[in-house]
Amino acid sequence: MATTNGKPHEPLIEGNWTNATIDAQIGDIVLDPKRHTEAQLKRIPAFLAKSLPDQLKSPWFLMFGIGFIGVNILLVAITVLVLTGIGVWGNNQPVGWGLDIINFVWWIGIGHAGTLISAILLLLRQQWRNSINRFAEAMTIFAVMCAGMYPLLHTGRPWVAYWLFPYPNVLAMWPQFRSPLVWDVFAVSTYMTVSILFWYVGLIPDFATLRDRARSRFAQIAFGFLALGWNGSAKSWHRYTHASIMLAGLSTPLVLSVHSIVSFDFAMSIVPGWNVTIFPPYFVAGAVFAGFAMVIALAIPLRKWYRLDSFITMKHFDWMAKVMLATGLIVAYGYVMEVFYAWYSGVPLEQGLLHNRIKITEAPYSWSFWLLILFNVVIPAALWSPKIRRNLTALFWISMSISIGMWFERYVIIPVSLTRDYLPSSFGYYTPTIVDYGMFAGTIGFFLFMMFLFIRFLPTINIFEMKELLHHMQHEKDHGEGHGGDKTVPAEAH
Amino acid sequence: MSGRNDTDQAFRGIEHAVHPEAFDAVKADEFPHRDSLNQIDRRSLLKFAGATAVLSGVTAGCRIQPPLSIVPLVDGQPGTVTGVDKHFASTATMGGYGFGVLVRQYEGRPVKIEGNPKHPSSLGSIDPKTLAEIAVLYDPDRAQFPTKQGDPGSWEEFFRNARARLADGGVALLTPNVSSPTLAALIEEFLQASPGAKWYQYEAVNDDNALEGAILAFGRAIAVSYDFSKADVVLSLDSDFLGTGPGAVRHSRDFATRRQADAHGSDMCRLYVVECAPTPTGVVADHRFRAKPSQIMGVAKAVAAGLGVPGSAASASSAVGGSALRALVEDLRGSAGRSIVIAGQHQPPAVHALCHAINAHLGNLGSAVKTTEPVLAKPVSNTADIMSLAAAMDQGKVKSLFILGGNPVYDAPADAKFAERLSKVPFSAHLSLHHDETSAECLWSLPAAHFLESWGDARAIDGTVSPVQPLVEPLYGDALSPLELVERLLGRARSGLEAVKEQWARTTGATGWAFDDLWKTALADGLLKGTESKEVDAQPVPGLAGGLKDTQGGGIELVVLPDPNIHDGRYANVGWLQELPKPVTNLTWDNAAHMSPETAKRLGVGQPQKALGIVPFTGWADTVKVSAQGYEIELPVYVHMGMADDTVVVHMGYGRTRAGQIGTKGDPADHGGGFDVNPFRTSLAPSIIPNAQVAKSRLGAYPLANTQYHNMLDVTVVDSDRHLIREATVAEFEEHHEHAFEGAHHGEKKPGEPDYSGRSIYQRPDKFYSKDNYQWAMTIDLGLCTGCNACVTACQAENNIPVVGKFQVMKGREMHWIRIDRYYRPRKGQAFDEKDPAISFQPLTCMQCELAPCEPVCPVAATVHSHEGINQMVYNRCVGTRYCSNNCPYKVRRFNFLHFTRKAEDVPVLKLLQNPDVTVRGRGVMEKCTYCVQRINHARIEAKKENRLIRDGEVVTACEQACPSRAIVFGSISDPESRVSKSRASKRNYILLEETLTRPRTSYLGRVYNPNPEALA
Repeated sequence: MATTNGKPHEPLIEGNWTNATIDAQIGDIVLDPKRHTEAQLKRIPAFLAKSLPDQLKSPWFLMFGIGFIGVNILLVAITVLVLTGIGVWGNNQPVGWGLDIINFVWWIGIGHAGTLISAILLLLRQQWRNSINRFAEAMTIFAVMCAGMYPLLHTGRPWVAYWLFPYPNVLAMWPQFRSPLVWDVFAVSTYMTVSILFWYVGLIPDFATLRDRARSRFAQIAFGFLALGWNGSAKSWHRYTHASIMLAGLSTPLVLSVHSIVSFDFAMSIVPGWNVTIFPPYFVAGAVFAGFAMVIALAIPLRKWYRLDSFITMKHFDWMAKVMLATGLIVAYGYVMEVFYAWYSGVPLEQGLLHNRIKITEAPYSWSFWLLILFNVVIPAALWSPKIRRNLTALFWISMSISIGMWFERYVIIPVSLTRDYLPSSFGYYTPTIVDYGMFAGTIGFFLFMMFLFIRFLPTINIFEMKELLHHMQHEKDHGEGHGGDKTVPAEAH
Repeated sequence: MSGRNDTDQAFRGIEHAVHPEAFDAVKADEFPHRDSLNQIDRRSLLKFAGATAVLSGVTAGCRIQPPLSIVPLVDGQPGTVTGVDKHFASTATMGGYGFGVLVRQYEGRPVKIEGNPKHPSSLGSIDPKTLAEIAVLYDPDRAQFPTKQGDPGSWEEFFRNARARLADGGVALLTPNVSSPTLAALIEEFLQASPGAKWYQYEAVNDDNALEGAILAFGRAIAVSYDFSKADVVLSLDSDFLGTGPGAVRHSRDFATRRQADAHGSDMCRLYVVECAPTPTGVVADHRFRAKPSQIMGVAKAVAAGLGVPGSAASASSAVGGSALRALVEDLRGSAGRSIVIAGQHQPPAVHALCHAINAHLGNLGSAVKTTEPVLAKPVSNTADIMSLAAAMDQGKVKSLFILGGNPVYDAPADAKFAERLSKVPFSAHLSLHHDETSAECLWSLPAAHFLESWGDARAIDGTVSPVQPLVEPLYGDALSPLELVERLLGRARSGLEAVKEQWARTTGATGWAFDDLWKTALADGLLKGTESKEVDAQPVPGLAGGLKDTQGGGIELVVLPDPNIHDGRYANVGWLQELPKPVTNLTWDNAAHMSPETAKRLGVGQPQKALGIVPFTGWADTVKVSAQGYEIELPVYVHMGMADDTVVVHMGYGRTRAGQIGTKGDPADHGGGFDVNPFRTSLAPSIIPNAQVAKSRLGAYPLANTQYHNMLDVTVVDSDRHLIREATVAEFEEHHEHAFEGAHHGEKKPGEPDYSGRSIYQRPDKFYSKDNYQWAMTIDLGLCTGCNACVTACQAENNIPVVGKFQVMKGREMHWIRIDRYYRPRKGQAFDEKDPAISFQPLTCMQCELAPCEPVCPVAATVHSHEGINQMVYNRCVGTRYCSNNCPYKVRRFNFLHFTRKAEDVPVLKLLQNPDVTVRGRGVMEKCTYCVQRINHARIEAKKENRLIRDGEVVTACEQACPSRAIVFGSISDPESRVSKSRASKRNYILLEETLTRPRTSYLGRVYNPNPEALA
């Protein structure tokens, strides 16, 4: 990575920074409420612009407000659902799973980028992850929260959904361990636990920084409590380093296993369109694809609103776009393979499935397949261009396209496969209802709500890792450009 | 000894007598031998207090018995044993004819109606409508007390007024068709007691045509009945003898005896059907021809001419001609004396008369076609009767009118103007189960007792007198049966029981012990032996065939038929029947204008609509405006493949304005209720109306709830090579045996056909489970199934299956555990023709797979396999992930998406309807067929009590029991001699979706049919 196209490589932190200014720039997002009102929304109707106080015209308030409304929609949707039954959704015979499981898989997939960035890239000593890992991890946790709601609430009797957990009980009944849904319970709960732990451990040094910088007594006590007595000693750092490497080691297999197990929900079944051996890698690649798209879609506005250009540079976006391009190609390969083996196997059911997906005039759901191809294959192909990879507007919309495309991928796989399987007499149709969409909108709202609470109350970018990075960069500078070469000297080595 | 010598003193024992003071402490303690609070030390007290607090927290969540509305069985009836059910014979009545049933009674309440094996109409089988009578009994909307112009009244007041009126003359009695000897005798007595009184009979679905046809043919009223077990060749002229009419159940059984492919082979009978719209009879036919209803006479004449029936001359054209006609005629001639030509109920009398002439010419009379004395007490043309009543009402001759059942305001012919003329009658009373359209127009509305609540009798189609035996006291104490009402009008107060007994004693001449014996036997058997109608030697009027008129036709012919489920509308408030997919069309909750694809295309309408290439599952149908006889109505269109062109079929019974919560027409998206087509029916054209004007309506689309959209098997790549339905002709079957069926994997495979045998990487032992146990299995013979739906309703009644409503059906959430799939297929050796496809039925229920795909995916082990091979469903363990349903290739699992059983839990009278042996499932759980495991367990208990094994045939599933053609066989395959083992050994046996290696316990027997090679040429 010495040079790209003969140019000297770009630094991971742009501009002149000191430890103190980094502390201030990132830490003050938490400690100084004014930072949230610095950026102002421009297009506000005149009558509102006059009457609204400035705080309310900030993007933070707008996004938090949208999130808050979404949370309320979610609560209404859940209440209606639990009081009335699954019948308020569009699920039917033969389509037992619809938006509920689509959204579950979609959210789980989004979470994957966070873990990939925090765990695998840490183990691979990729320093560029440092500026994005904190909010990507937060994104993971909130996405898994959103995802976790669905398996619980999609059951007909959510009040007994705890029977999926192996707990000692008077019935002397275990869950049925052959069911992929039980594997899901383990996979997702492990994933959630490890993600939270990893995130929290990573936050400890930053909590200490905030504790030290806080001026209000309450903040000092709160952050002091969360910092677990961190004192910056070599011993603290030593233990921290070991804990985070161990957690990274634990998380790394999870990146691959969680979505593989989620894909088993389908691959283990006998439904044509589900019973596919390539699902595990295909789902994992799709998850990383969707996850990076979401990271980019969040990073672009945050960078702008909180003046984080120096920490999240064009180089970051370029690399993230490349990851998307690579995983997108794996996913596209999956689509090609599905078509190929429908033809190659000669199995009528598989051919019927293909027919149902692609025949525009005869298959009721072909539109969803072709939208999927458009959003997931055609539009992301623009990422081949380096210019596009560094054009934030284009990148933002491509990320959005991928998020939508990955949603359609699950739509095509889950309900559309179920609409037509074995017996033509039972072929059906699936139409989601307002409660389905309300719940989806609600989880998006919940996600934004949590995300912006996080931005308000916790450091969005890893402060100490930025400082460490700065230290390395200065260290390199001191040694002169001749040293050049690979800059991935492990931070932990010092 | 104490000094007290009080004589009042009593001692409990010597200890007490000697030391009475020792007992003082015990007496002082209210709760002896328990620690009182005083004796407990502080620490123990706190421990108990804590434990109490904890336990009260624990138990607060437990349910306690509801404070109200449950009543323990304090003093049971003699012979009532808690938890043990009993069966009583009784008789349901339809169209006047009795249908023998066995009613299952549980702790004093009837819970299910089943066929009576001893009764000639039933032979143990049943039809959906009779099954659903139990739901009529427990209908929460039943009339409960007499009302006078809508205000509550009393029977005393009614009888006081009525008897005062009787003296004034001008009395008319309107009843449905009556076969009951007791009621007929009472009515006769009533007519004599009130001079000038007249008796009229009317039902919208009646035998007028058959009666008038018989009069035309034989010169007098003669009942003609058919024995299909004796017929080698059957020609049905628009007759759905397997699906509709009082004889359908018996006909199906008799017909099935001649369709046993394994046993009979080429001795199978051959069925030709000429019909305007596909019916169950048409679907099972070996040759099916389409003809407009007016063309049927032409076909009959051509056949008569071909056979040389004296006086017959072929019409100018016949809908069936050429080689087919020649082959048909030859076939009939070849089996003279062993054939049946039968005309449809709605075909005009001339067609019936000509059929009689043909049967007589062929020598069928007296063998396969029986002529007997009429079964009905007074056979009259219902249409003529209602018209003369209407005329009398119009002229003011009717001063008081007693309507005992029926609903003439709703279903009388339009030109009777019944409602209008009823207002001219000063005193009118309607005895009815519901406060319906007629009740609303009458002065008095009187609650009728259901047949399960009253004594009576009726005669079966063959004339056998059958007792109507009550199973329960009237639920609404005020209800009276027609018998009791006439009795009270006569000023007497005999109970129904006394009336029937006295009548029977009179007719049988038996007295004393002899009568008691006869009576008890009759009640136990459900029939009075030896009371069949006398056979008469009837010969057609000479030269009959020549003088018969052609049916008036032309233009688009509108055919008004009774609804296959709700009949003339009397079952409109029965959710079971509203939601029962109608045979062939699978339509629920509505009626529609059925027309052929060609006619629909010409009118510019169609269903399903195609928008942007999207075919909706349950669709919005176009609507048409149908005008005829001065009436017009907008109806949704149902494009019915296989119908005759230029014909529109509509069903009566819908568009009710006062039927109840379910039946009354309402919001189309919610529960439909259909459209009233009775105004099309006039006395001159009660069912076939020529020259109807049909045009696309501007009303727009109407939602129709269909449980299966038009799907064609083996037509597109989607459906190809699945070989769900296997059929072969007799010739193919005799030659190739099991290889005759397409898709059969045995032996050599056909080109391009996948071969799945031996492909599994897993071991496939012959018997997956041990032979020591019962291993339950079922076979369904596709060659016998007529798609009559009896199994569906029987299952619904047996297993407490809820009704979900039209809106939920449109969403695809109907709950039936057994369904009858209907497929359209190309005719053998031809390309698919939407005008005239082959149609197949396939009853489908849980296949009880040995390697059930549903089981490993359930996360909580709520669906598990029993060691007897049943895929069990543990409702209270189910959390409702629906994964099992997704993974079921047969899609037979049903999920409680909403609290569908809420009414069964909340409405007191509906609680009585539920079968106590089967759980009523709440919302959020999956359910499915369990092979009636409650019946298996019942048999197991009986067998264990007698220390023996369960005998073959001892466990009969509800569907098997109801099936009129005995297409379903259930039993244990661990017994090689069992019926099901033998059935599975048939060469026709095949497994649905065998390639999925689910190893189902339910298998199918391929359909073997018997086409005439000459007719195919």
